[in-house]
Amino acid sequence: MTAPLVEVHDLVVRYKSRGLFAAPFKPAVNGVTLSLPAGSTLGLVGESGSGKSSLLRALLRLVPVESGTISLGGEDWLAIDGPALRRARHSIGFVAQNPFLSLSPRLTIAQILAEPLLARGDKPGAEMKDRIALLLSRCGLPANFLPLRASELSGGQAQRVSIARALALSPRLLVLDEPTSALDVSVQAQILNLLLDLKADSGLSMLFVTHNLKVVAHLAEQLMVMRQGSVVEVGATERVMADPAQAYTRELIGFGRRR
Amino acid sequence: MSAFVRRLGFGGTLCLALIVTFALLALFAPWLSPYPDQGMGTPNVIAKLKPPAATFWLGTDHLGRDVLSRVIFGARVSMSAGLLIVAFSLLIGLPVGLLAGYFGGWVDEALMRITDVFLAFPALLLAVLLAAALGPGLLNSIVAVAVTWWPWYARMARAEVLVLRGQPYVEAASVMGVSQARIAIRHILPGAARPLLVQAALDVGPALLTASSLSFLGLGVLPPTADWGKMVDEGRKFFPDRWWVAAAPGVAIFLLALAFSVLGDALRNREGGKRRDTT
Repeated sequence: MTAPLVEVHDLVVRYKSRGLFAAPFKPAVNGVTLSLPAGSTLGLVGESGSGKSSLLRALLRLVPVESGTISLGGEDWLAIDGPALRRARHSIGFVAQNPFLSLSPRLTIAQILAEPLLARGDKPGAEMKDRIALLLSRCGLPANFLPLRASELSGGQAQRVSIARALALSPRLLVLDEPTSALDVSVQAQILNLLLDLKADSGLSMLFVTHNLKVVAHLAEQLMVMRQGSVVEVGATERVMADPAQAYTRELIGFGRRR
Repeated sequence: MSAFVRRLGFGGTLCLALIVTFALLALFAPWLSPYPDQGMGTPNVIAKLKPPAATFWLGTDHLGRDVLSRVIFGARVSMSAGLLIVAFSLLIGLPVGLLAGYFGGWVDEALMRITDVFLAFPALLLAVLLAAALGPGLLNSIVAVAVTWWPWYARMARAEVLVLRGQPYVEAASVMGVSQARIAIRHILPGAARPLLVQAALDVGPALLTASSLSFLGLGVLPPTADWGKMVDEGRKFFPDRWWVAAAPGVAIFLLALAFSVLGDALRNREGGKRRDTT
């Protein structure tokens, strides 16, 4: 067993309530503990409002954490701040749900893919151009997409660009927030196959958030089911799919089948 | 060309043509006006207050100067005043709004309260006060109006930035470790600037009107430089018997302000259409 890449311990995320006398909100993530071994994939499943997105946003340092710890590669991820955090962010790639919203509408694909490289401090030039073309081809798109804008792509193509961008800095962890739910079913399968290939090629660790158990069952070694901020079930994918311990998990599996 | 007309609409294209015409007249005034020296202010008292005729198409003023030449030369001052007021206001308002919207918190509070102070005064009154304090002159009157104008742009820019700041693509940039300055300039500014530029095009007309008002009140350029607002003021004394002295510059102000407004509307509609396409 390899050492875990990500370890979350007793994490609580609570959004601030407005006003001095307003009652505080219930925690969006309530004492979640998880560990993700390097090179493996964890599927995080739950309905809307289950706290899965809040957990993910806390992991991306987009929302403040109330209590608990997150460590990434053995380091205290929550203690890093300022410019160090900016550099440390390069080790996490992020793919959002809707590629058309997460790709800048006014930039070309080439500019979008250059952005993380420039953020790392790479010099623009021929070398960077080659690297961008390579990134794109790894995600199954030819280089003639480079001068286009996101609005000229199909959903699947745009999501491929978004994955290429997330992989630009060879991150240790890829975080995916419902990467297929804005796409139609046939395109979903293509994107999932792409992720499977990438995983086989580069031994990438992934945290895959979705409400659709069926989608993630392909990809993940482990599943974690969340409801109302808490983990209700966690285990190896085959075990959870074959023999769910919780009624709620069964519901989610049924939901996946019906679709 | 036809695609261009379709995008701006017939009215927008017509107004753009009108603005370009005025701009060309202003630029080449010494060659295009029939009496360039009179346009620049040389009196010609033997022909004073002549009605429009073949020799003086728009008549002459109380010093015998050709009104057409004066209007053409006046376009230089009035157009540059309108454009510069808007440009100065954008130059102050856009960065202020960007900073306030992007950083939020106390930066936002501080900048917006300063903005509120300027918005609390009636704009024209503040402009008159400032122009009077700074003394007459083109640059002073432009500065005076711009000082009352920028808060609107600051507010607009802030509102745009607040919307864009929450966009997933801005979030994606910050998750990639892009620096804050680069996020603000590369990812937020282009989106925020476009509606502001449309507003700026709409505002050139009112800016020009305000600048003309100041010079009408004697707070603009110094004679003998031709300026539409000043010419209307001079022509006022001879109105309505010798109507052409005030009417010609008045109509010029009206046409140019209208043209900028309609063009701004056309741009805004195009902007709206484009937005619907992409989202």
